[in-house]
Amino acid sequence: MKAEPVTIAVAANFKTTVEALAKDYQLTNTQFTYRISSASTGILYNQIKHGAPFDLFFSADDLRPQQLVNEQHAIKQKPYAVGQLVFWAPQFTDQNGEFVKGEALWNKWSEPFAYANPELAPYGAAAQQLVSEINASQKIILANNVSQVYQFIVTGNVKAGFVARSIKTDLDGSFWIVPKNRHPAVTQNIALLTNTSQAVDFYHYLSSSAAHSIIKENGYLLP
Amino acid sequence: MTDAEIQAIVLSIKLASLSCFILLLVGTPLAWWLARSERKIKHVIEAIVALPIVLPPTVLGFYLLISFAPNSIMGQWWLTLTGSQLAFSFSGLVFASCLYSLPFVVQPIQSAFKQIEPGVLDAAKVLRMPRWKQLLAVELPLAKNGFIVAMVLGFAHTLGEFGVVLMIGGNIPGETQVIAIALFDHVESLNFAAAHRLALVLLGFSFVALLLTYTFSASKKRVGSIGVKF
Amino acid sequence: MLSFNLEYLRDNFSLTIEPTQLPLLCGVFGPSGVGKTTLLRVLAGLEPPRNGDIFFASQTWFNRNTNLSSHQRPLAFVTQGSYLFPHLSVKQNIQLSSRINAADLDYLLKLFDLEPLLDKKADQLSGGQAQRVALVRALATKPKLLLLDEPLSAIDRGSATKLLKGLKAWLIKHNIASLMVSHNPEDLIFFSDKVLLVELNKTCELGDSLQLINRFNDQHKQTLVLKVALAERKADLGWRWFKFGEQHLLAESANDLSEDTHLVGFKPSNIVIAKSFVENCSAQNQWLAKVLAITVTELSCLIEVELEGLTFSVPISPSAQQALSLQVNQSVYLLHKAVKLHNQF
Repeated sequence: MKAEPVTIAVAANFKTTVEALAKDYQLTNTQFTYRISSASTGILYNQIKHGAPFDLFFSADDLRPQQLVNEQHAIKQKPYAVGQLVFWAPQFTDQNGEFVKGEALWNKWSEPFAYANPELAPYGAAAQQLVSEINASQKIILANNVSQVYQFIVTGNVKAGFVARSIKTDLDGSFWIVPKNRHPAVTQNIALLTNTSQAVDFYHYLSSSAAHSIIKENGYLLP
Repeated sequence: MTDAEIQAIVLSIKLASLSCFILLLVGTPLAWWLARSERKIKHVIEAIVALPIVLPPTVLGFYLLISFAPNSIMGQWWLTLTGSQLAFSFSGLVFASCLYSLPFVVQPIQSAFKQIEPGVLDAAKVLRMPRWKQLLAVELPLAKNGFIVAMVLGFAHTLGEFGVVLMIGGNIPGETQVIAIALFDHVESLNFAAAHRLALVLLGFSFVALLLTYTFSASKKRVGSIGVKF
Repeated sequence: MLSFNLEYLRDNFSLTIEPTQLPLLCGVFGPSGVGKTTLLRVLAGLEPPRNGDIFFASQTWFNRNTNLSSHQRPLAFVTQGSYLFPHLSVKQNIQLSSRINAADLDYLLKLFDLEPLLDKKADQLSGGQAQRVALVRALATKPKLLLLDEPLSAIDRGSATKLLKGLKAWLIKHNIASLMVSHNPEDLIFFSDKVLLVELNKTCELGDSLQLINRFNDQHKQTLVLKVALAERKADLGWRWFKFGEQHLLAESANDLSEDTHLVGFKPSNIVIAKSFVENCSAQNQWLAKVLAITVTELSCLIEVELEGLTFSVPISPSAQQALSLQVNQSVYLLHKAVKLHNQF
C-alpha cells in the first residue's frame, strides 16, 4: 500500500532545493512520495492559519514558523538553512576593466540599486542594515522580493542589487558576498504541521549530512 | 491616514489623470478610425487594443520590464530623449497605464461613434460642412456619453492598476508607490488596519465610477450600452 | 447644369443612365426599390457608382480619376427621414451650415413656418416639422444643386402643395438646380415639366412629366393625371367645371380657387365606355376619345384610347365588347363620375 504523499509548502526561493532534497531522500526511502506547493512565505502562512492541508512548511524566515507553533498550528519548528546576502553588479568593472570582488564594490557604488522590501522579505531586512549605514543619495528601488531584484538586474533595468546567493549560485561579474556578521541573519525555519510518520522522518532528515551538503550546494549556510 | 498613504493616493490620482488625458488624445482618433473604417486590418487593431482586458497584467509587466531596460531600443530612445530611465519612474508608469487602460478608453468611445445614426453623419456630409466641422460639431458632441464613460473607466482602471506597477514600479514613495501597491505592502506585512483604509478608498471610488458609468450609459436610449465589451 | 452617365449596382441589379443633361428642375419617378434614392446618394457622393461620370456646370464630380467628397460638391441633400442633428436646436441645426444672409434666412423661416419652432430641440419635432427644418437647413447652405428625396412625405397635402410652390419659386429665383424623388405624380408634374423615369433593368428615360408618368401609371394600373384649367361654365356650389383641350371636366372642389391650372387624377378602371353621348345619365363627365387598339383575351378586354393626347387602356369585360363591338379608330365617349380636386397650382 502506498502512503498518502507528504504535502510540502515551501517559500518560493527554496523550492528547487526542496525538490533536490526530496529526490535525494527518495533514494533511500522509496516509499516516500510528496507534493510541493510554493508561494510567498506570507501567503503560505495565511493559508496554513486557515487550515490548508500541508504537512511541512519551509518558511523563508524564522518568524512565521515560530508564530505557527505559538498559535498551535504547528507541532514544532527548527532552522534548516541560513541565507547568504550578495551585493551583485554583473556588468560592473573598475577603471582597469576588471570585475570588482568584495566590499570595495559596495563602498564605491554610487548608482541606483535595488533590494527587497524590508517590510516583506527577510533578505530585504538584511540589506536594510547595510543601506541604513550609508547616506544613499542615489535612487533606491524596492522590489517585492529578492527574485524581483534578480529580475530587475538581469533585464538591465538596474545595474546592481542585493540578491540571495541561492538565486544565483554561480556568481559572475562583480559581487560582494556580505559576511553574516554585517546584517541580521536570514534564518529560514521549517515547521512540522502534522505528525504523519513520513513528514516527521523527512523533518529529521534535514539535519543529516546528506541534506546539509545539498543545502550548501544551493547557496545557503547551515544553521 | 499617514503621510505615506496620502502620498500614495495623490500619486495614484496624478497617474490616473495624466494617463486619461494622454489616452483621450491618442484614443479618440484610434476609436474614430475603428468605428468608421471598413478595412480588414481594423479587426487586428481591435484585437490588439483589447488585449489588456484578457491578458494577465504580468504579461504586460514582463514585456515592459524587458523593453524598459536601458539597453533595449525603447529604453535607449527614452534615455537619450530625457536622460532618465523608464523603469521605476513615474513616466514609466504613465506609459504602462496608457497601454493597460487603452481598451477601457477606446472601446466606449468607439461604440459611441458607431452608434451615431449613419443618416445624421450623411446629413453633415451633404450640407457642405468641412471634415473638421463634421467632427467637431456633429460627431464629437453626439459621442459625448461615450467620452464620459471612457474617462471614468480609464481613470478608475488606472487607479486600481496593480500587477503591472508591481512588476515595473520598484515601490518608490512619491514616484511609483501607488495606492494599490501601498495596500499590498500593508496586507503582506499584516498591517490590516492600514490596508482597510486604503481598500475602502479604492472600493468607494470604484463603486462611484461604475455607478456613473451605468448612469451615463442608460441616460440616452439611442446611445444604448456604451460599456466595455468583455 | 447637372449631367451624368452612370451605372451603379444596388442589391445585385444594375441601373444604367445614359449621358443625360438635366433641366434646372427635374423630377425622379419610378417604382419602389428601383434605386432612386441610390441615384441621389451617388450624385451626392455618399456612394460611388460602379462606372460613369458626373459633371456639374463645368466641374467634374466623378470620373475614372476623380471622386469629390460630398462636402466638396456644392450641393445639399434632403434625405428621406430628415436626420436633423439631435443634440442641437432647430435654430442651431440651420445655422451650423448656413451661408445665406439674415434677410433670406428670415424669408425661408417664414415660408416654412419655422419661427415658432426655432428654440425646440431637434429630437422633439414631429416628422412633418423635421422635414420643414431639413428643407430650410439645406436651402440655407446656398447649394447649387438640391437633391430632394420624398421631402414632403410627412406633411399634409394642403401644406405640402403650398410649400412645394414656395420651394419651386425659391429654386428658380436663385437658379438652384434640383432633382426631386417623389411617389406623388401631382407633386412631380407641378415641380417640373421634365421627369427622369427610373425602371428596373431599363435605361433611364428623361421626358415630359405628364406623359411619362401617365404612361408608367397606365402600365401599372395607377392613377392618371390630367392638367386642367378653370372654365367659365357654371356649376353648383362645391363643384367646378374645368377645361382640357376641347373637353370639359367636372370636379368636386372649393369655389374660391386662386390658381388657373390644376391637376386632377382618375383611374381608367373607373371609366365606362359608350358609343354615343348618353342623355339622362348621372355621370357628368363624358369625354370624346378615339379607340387606338383593342386587345381581347378570354378573361379580359383592354380598349386603348386616346384622350386629348393622353393614351391609356380602359378595361371592359369581354361580353361588353361583344355587345358594343368596338372598332379601331372609332370615336367613343368615356363616362366618369365627377373627380376630386386635390391640388391646385
